[in-house]
Amino acid sequence: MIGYYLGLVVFAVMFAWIVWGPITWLLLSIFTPKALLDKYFKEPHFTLTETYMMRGWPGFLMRTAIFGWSLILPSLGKKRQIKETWKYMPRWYAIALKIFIYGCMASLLIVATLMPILLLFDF
Amino acid sequence: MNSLVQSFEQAILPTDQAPMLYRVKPGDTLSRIIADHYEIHYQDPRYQDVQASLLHFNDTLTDPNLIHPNQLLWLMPLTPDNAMAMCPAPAPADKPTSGKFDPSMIADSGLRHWLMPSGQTTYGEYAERMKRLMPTATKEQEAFWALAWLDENYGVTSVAATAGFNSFGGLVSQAHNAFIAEVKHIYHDYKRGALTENQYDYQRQKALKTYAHKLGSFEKLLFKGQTAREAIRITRSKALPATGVIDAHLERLSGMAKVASRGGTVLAVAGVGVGCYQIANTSDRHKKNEILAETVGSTFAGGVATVALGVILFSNPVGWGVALVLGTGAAIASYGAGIGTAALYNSRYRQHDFVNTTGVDKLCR
Repeated sequence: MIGYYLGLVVFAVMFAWIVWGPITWLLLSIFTPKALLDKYFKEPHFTLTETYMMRGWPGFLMRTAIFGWSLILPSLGKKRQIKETWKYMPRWYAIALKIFIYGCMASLLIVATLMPILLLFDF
Repeated sequence: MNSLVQSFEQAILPTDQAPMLYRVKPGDTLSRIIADHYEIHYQDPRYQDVQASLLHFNDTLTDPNLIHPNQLLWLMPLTPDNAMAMCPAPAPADKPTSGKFDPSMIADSGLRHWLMPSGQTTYGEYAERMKRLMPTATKEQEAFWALAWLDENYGVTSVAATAGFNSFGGLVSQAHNAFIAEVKHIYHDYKRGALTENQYDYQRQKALKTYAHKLGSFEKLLFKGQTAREAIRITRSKALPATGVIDAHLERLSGMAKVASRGGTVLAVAGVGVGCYQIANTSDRHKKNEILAETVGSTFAGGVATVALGVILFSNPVGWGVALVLGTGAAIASYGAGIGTAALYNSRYRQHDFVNTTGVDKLCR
């Protein structure tokens, strides 16, 4: 019985992400602050290849994800020399981007943890 | 191919009465096909019946002694008791010159009843419907089966195609092509007198060396077996612009980059579209829910995996090679998650109709 409800949780998390995830990601990518792009979306912070691949659809989605991680794990930005990206974005954008990344990772954690258990064990 | 044929026909036919679509191989004869499929040999009294039914249900088969490789033939199943084929052989005096089966030739026996159960669609009607749906020209049939295979195997092929487009896009990105364009600019600077010959040689070689280093072993793939240094050269012919060869390569590579970028976008949308198409084109509720589960699982996994990959890309600038590996991994994870989600649905939630609950069946119809 527990397995039944846990499985419903997995489906609910996936369906919910399909509803809010892509549209949020797209909006955050479209409304990326210009100040942030002017400051960091160029060499030496991004390679020339990356700037070309991530400047439009669908590469800019990955660019948004990168800037999102710069808010959550800023210490990882040493190689790219990217720091304090929050200074170059409005407060609402920084909050929304953080919620997006946290939401995605929480969804991934739930599904990645429960699905193998539900598939391998019968309870 | 046989499993593909079965999945196509079982959508509209009872599983125990499904005909088989057989592709003639080199060396086949009609008698051998009948012997292999029906275990009825030439001397068997039922042989003529089976041959007559093949002639009836296959418009492309006009002469039983004349079949050719890749020809497609419908092989109808025998009656449940294997007592006779679908139609009796006509008496020699009544044998139609065209060899076509005439339903009125059926004796008033159990066979007529079997073929025409009261109030139900006949087996023959199913077969007639399929004959109308199937294209008749050989090339059209080839295209039909290619599309059917793609429909059946989209999940696997989309992984490979997505990874291919992603890597191809990286390979021919405008960033890389900028190095080739730089050779052209360096040449023009040299001709203007802004550079000496030694400076021109040095800068040209440096640009091409950097480009070759970025492409790695795929350099010759892009330049049809030549290295960039061999392919990117100044034309000495007075009939052509000096940088004509360079311009031609740039135009070709830019075109390829456009295709790669479109391909990635098309596949991103097609993945969801194919799921919706498959849901709309099956009447089995369970199958609809299975497809929905697979599509949701793969879309979810692809999306969150890409977001998760952002942490790796944030900490490390990567070239196209590593990007290819990461992108391929995400595509494979996405495909695997779709399969896993469908398996989870089948194992625990077969009785649930998520398609109806979410309203997807109203959207995809």
